[in-house]
Formats: sequence, C-alpha cells, structure tokens
Amino acid sequence: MMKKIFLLFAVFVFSASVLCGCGQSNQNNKADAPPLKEVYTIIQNEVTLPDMLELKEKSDLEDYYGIKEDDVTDFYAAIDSSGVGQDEIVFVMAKDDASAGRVEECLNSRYDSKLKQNESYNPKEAAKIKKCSVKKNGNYVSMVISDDAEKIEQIYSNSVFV
Amino acid sequence: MNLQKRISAFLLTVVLIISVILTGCNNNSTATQKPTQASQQTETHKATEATTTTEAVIQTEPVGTSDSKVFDNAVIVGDSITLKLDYYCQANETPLKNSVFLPSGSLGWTNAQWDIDNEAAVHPTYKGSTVLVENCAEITGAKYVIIMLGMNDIGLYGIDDSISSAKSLIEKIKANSPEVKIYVESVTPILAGMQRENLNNENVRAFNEKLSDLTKELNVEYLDLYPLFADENGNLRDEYCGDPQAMGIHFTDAACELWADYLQKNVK
Repeated sequence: MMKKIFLLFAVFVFSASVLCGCGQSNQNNKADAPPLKEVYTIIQNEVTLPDMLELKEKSDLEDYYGIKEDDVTDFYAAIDSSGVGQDEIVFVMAKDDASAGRVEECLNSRYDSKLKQNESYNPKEAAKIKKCSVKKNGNYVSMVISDDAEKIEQIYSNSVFV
Repeated sequence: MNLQKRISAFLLTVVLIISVILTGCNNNSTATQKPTQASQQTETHKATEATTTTEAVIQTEPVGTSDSKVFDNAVIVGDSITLKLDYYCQANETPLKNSVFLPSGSLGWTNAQWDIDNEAAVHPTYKGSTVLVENCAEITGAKYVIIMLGMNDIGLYGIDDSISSAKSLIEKIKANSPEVKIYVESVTPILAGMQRENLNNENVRAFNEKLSDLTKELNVEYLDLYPLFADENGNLRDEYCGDPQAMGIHFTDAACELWADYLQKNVK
C-alpha cells in the first residue's frame, strides 16, 4: 500500500513539473506560423502601403528602437521612407516572455516619441498614430501605424495566432 | 493501518499543495507578469544606459575608406527634414549610412535645450533612449557633428532669438565635446506657395546670413545648403519637394541624393 502511494506521489509530481515547464511561454501562436517577413509579404499583397524602408538587420532594431538583438528570434520592420508619412510596421517574435516585455517597452517609447513629434506640426499623421497602438500577445509584439492598421493586424493575427 | 491512513492523507495533502503551487507558477496572466517585466525592463534600461559609452567607443574605431571614415565617426542631428535624409541613406547604402542619425520632428535650436523630462520636448532618441543634442558627441562617440536646425525656430521665435538659441546650443556642444569638429548646415528653402507670415524664404535667408556669421564667431564650419535646393527665385525647387500638398519643406529622394553627395564632398 505504502509503495503504491509513493509511486502515485512521484508520478503526480513529475507530471505536474512537466506540465509546468511546457506551459512557460503560454502562447497561442500557431506551431507552423510563417516567418514574419512572409507575413509582411501577404500584407503587401492585400494592402496598399507607401514606399517603406525595410530594416534588414537585427542591429537596425537597436538603432531605431533600442531593441536588443538577444531579445529577438524573428522580426520584420518597415518605416514610411518619406519621412513625412508616419506609417510603420514592426513585428517581433521575442525569445521569451521577458524579452517580449522589453520589446514592448521599446516600441511603446517609439510610439510615444512619434506621437509627440507629430502633434505640433503634422496633425493628420498624429491622428493616424493615435488610432494605433503597440500590442503584445505571448512572445509576439507588434506596432502597426497605418490607416489600414486594423486590416494589417487582422492578417498578422490570422497568420501567426491560433 | 491507522498509521498508513495518516501517511496517505499527509501525502495527498502535500500533492495537492504542490500541484496548486505548480499551477500558480505557470500563470502567465498580465497581472502576475507585470511586476516581473517592469523590474526586468528597468534593469535592462539601466544596463543600456551604462553600456552606451562603451558601445559608442567601439563605434569610433575607424574602418573602411578614408571618405567613409568621416561618416563612421559622425553624428547627424536635425529635424524632420534630416529624418528623410536618414531613411534615404539607409535605403541607398551611402557612406552616410554609417553615421549616427539623431533626427526628431519639430526639433529646433530652442526646444533642443529644454529639460530632458519636459513633457513638450521632442528630444531625439539614441538606441531607444532620449538624449539631449548638447550631449550628442559624448553619447555617440562621434568626432564630427553635422547639425541642421532652425526651420522650427524661425516662425516661432523670430530670427534674432533663434540665432541666440543656436549660439547657446553650439557652445554647449563645444563645451561638452571640445575635440569634435562641428558643421552647421543652413536652413533649406521653402516651396513658393507655402510661405507663411513669419516662416518664409526671406526670413530663412536672413537667418542663414546671421547663422553664417555666428559660425565664424564660434569657429565652427558652415555648410550653405540653400543654393543647392533653390530655384532662380530662391524657392525650393518643385522636384526636390516631398510634400508639396502639405508643408512644402520636406525633401524627395533626388534632393537627398544631392544633399548626401554635398556632405561627402564638404565634410572632411
């Protein structure tokens, strides 16, 4: 009887530990989610975007947003290259939840900075920025500033999340 | 038997407690995550600040050809007009791409000197952290400072007060980084139909004249960009205006190509 109880105890503790470990990321993203560059290509095919400057290197994320390379697993980022229009699309798959939190903080700073810069002289673009926001979902963080932000975020969500 | 029941009850209680604790540790809700994230973010932010100087020192190591060395060691400061130059240089792989760009929309000689925590200030950011222009060379490790401001001052503060602000800021940069070479760029022309009461090409030219005198007084370099972009009437050429329906002051790629080329020839 004692042996059975101890065996039951050991199995239960092991199972609980394994379940705890598996659930660390608590993500609802698809196991076969495509690379974020591919998600952007889908968006390009469905939404008319202005000429965008693509940030190609992870180091660009640090230069423009302060996002550390070590926090990033995959990303796609592009900025309206006119310097006047404020469209900006940033998708980041962070390494873990803590990394995603740091990425979210960086993108929120960028968002605040863009809004403040445009409020005084570029009210149309400031209004566009105000309608948009930074979003975090599990290890994924996004900032979509566009008149078509809702549609873009829908395509992104459908591609990445369950 | 009684002892066995007691042990069983004890073990089952332990199992229940452990399972509750384990389930709790896996709770990824925003409410439980936020304090942890906040503390981690604060630590990261501090770490970023602490390592900025080290990173900047690494950046100053000269690489590439002699031409590109200048821009490997340059910081380019400006307003939304310079923001476009930044994007152009990144997209077109010019030597200026390696410079640190610190542009910020609405930035001027005056508001660049506001306190860093001023709610209305639009200080530029460097690797995600807000920085003061007066510290731009210190923070980035640059040996050359190339700066264009004024479009956001002239209309608001008038020519003389704008020049006073320019003098004050240049002196602060020199005081903080006495070894750097400073290049001050003139304000560029405005499209013909976009002249305003106080912000117009006549005032821009008057400002530039005083700015040129100021650079001589302060022993820094002056780069007169105005003629590059002006037509025969002194207005911004149509082909160089990126926002003819809006403000009439921002640039096209063609203008940025000309600007980047001019800087490569004149910043030494």
